[in-house]
Amino acid sequence: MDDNRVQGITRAEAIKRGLYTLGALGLGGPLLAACGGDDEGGGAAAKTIAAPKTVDGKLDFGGVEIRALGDEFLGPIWEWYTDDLEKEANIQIAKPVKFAFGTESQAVTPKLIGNTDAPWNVISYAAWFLGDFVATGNLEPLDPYLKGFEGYSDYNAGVTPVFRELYCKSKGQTYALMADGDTHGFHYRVSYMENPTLQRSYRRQYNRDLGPPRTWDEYIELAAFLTKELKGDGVYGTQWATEPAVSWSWWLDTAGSLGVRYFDESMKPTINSDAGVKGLEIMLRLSESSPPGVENFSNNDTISNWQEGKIATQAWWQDLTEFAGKDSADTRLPGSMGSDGKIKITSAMAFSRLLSVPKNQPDEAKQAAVWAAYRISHPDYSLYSVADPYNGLEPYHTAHWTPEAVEQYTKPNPKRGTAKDYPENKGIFTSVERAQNHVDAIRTSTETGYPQPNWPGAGEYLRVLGTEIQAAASGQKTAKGALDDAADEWAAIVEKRGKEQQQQFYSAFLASAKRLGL
Amino acid sequence: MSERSAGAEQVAAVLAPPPVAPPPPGRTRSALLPRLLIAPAVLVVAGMAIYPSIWSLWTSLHAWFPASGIPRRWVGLDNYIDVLSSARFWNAMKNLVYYVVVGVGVEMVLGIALALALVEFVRRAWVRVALLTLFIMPMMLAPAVVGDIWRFMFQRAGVLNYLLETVGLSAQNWTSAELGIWSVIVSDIWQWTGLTMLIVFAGRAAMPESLFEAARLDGASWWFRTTRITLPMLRELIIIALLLRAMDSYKLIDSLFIITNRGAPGTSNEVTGLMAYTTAFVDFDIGTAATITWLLGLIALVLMRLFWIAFRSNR
Repeated sequence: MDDNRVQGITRAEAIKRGLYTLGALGLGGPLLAACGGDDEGGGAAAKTIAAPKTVDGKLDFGGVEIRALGDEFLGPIWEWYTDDLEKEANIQIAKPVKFAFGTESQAVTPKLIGNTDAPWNVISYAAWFLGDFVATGNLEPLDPYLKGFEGYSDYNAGVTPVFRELYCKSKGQTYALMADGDTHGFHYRVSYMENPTLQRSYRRQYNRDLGPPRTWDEYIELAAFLTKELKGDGVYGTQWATEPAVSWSWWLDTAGSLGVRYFDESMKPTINSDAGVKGLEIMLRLSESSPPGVENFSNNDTISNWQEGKIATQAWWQDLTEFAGKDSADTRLPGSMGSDGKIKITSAMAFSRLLSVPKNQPDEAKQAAVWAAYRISHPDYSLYSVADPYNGLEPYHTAHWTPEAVEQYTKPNPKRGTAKDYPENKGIFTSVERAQNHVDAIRTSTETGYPQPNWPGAGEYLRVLGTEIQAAASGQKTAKGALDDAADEWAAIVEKRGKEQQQQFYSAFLASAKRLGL
Repeated sequence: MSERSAGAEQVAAVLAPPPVAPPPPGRTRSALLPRLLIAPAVLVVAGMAIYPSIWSLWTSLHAWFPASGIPRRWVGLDNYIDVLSSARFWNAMKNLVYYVVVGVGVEMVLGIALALALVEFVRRAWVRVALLTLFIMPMMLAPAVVGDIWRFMFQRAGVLNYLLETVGLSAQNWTSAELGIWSVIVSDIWQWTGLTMLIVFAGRAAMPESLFEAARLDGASWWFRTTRITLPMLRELIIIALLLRAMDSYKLIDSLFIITNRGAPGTSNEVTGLMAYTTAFVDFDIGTAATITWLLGLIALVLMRLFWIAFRSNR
């Protein structure tokens, strides 16, 4: 036995951890405790995991209790499936822990880098954190478990390739399963689009029919028209959430369609290219047709404004129409007209929730946690989750496009009853036709998806970009000025985090995207 | 011997350490014992303050991203140069100066005025107690709760805009890049004016009324009594209140975080504490965060020194 090893770690590591613990005691916060070392993370060697135990031909995890962590938009899905998971595999689900939207950094990261026993068995988080979380070395690689699960190959083949290859994998290993396949779509109030007076007036002014715009230029005109016509009733043409946590996602819609890229080959940021600036200018033009105070709108503000009927149209995640009820419909986003006369559309695949399993937990809990995450992600369950208005989960699997899946949008969720947090249980749409339109819109958006960064450091890049976009929205900077500043900050981040390593990450990201035809 | 030197000798005698009794026969005094007795305290200070400070200083000289698995890298003073040359840092510092100087300044003036008014113009004891309680109640609320209360009041459809529109004025964006920090200052004044008021009220109430009675008999006006008797006698207490509030304001994060949604729009309403927090706990750029906190610490040391010099020269 190597006598330099103490309980599975080297003596040097033990001494280092001791020193960091002392540091943590001194500064009193979780920060230093969290900074437990320089683990390279990722790339864990594949190991052999025994297939789940079966008793009388049935899976049995021995009643192990699983605690899940996720943000508010995950909704109560763990509660809904508690009974099923117990019946199916003898897994108990403890009351899940929730964190506020967009606060993964504070809620999850310290525990992962702290290298301590994980307080949760399954975590759900925005997909751009995958790179950072894998780099902590404390996410369990899932392939060795998943390969032993019945039906996994079929499930895996059905996951939308961008999500499966780009969002769930790091260095070729699967570290996460999909819970939510987010994309942006275009939402509108049916009653305004079908209003004869508005239709006549719009045709007179713009010489085209009132309806969802094909291009961003048309959208700017439509939003201005609707604001002018409806402002007297307190209704505005459009809006977007300018808070830094998400403002960049609208920029991916506009600048993405104009062909913006994050970096060039030499890792020089290109977000301030002509395409990037024009993309932001489109958003600023849309701000002019938004309610006062748009420069401070949070994501939740945009939901409540829509639900209160204050907004006639907007680009948003596909859930919006599900949250809003009968007068809301959705379709593909507008795009940018290319020199060849074709319209290029990109839909931000922004956010998208993943399910992962922290490494530091007992093996039996880990195995049950991977199973539970797999089942939650599997269409056996997710078919119902994505068609339920009491969460923010969207389709990511071929099974979610089937007639059965479409029909589910018109029916109650059979996996749950009602409770204080989800007082109703009925279909979102009253007709299969409307449900089909909605699912088609999501599918089109997914096919034109524009992926967000998800390599280590993505959180910082996106925060900086989102902050500068908000600075432009509030009039502190021009679109060019804001993106120039963001590009300068991105260049500094590249240098600080190590140019060579960042270049490797970005090249791998680009290579995956290219393989997927993006 | 002169009278003066005799006096000095007396003082020296008083200040001299008491004679030490010789150790009992058979026992010699160990030099180790006193050291052992203070060792726990020294260890606690070393472990809880000195070591972390040195560790933090060392960290500020590195690029370190523990959440990205990147090994720590020596960068010397690069982090200091980056922070000091960043417009974001100086904007955050400007906001902090506004917050501390204007916010605490108004709290001091208001607190002193209200405390003196309470003592001198409110005759019934129960009314005094009721008013005092009313003013100090906001202090009992958690800053996060205060932040939420004011966030609702400052929002577009909040009560402040409702009142403005009721009297025919246009609604304001209270958390805009221009107004955000001032809105936070207003909430801070609402919450903390009571502290100065409480301290000054206690000091004023403890003063002998005979002093003021004598001044009144000598024909001293209210203004004369206030500026020549009351305020000079309350000087130390006012300085304590000022120090308490200034130190507390210096580490502002919570209410500003909530009212302006993390210093938004952009980073226009950020203060240095929030910038350090975001850098450390959102970006996990620990080296830069340590640099910001060291700069803040150094600035605080300089300010304390200047304050102390000014205080001593005015004694």
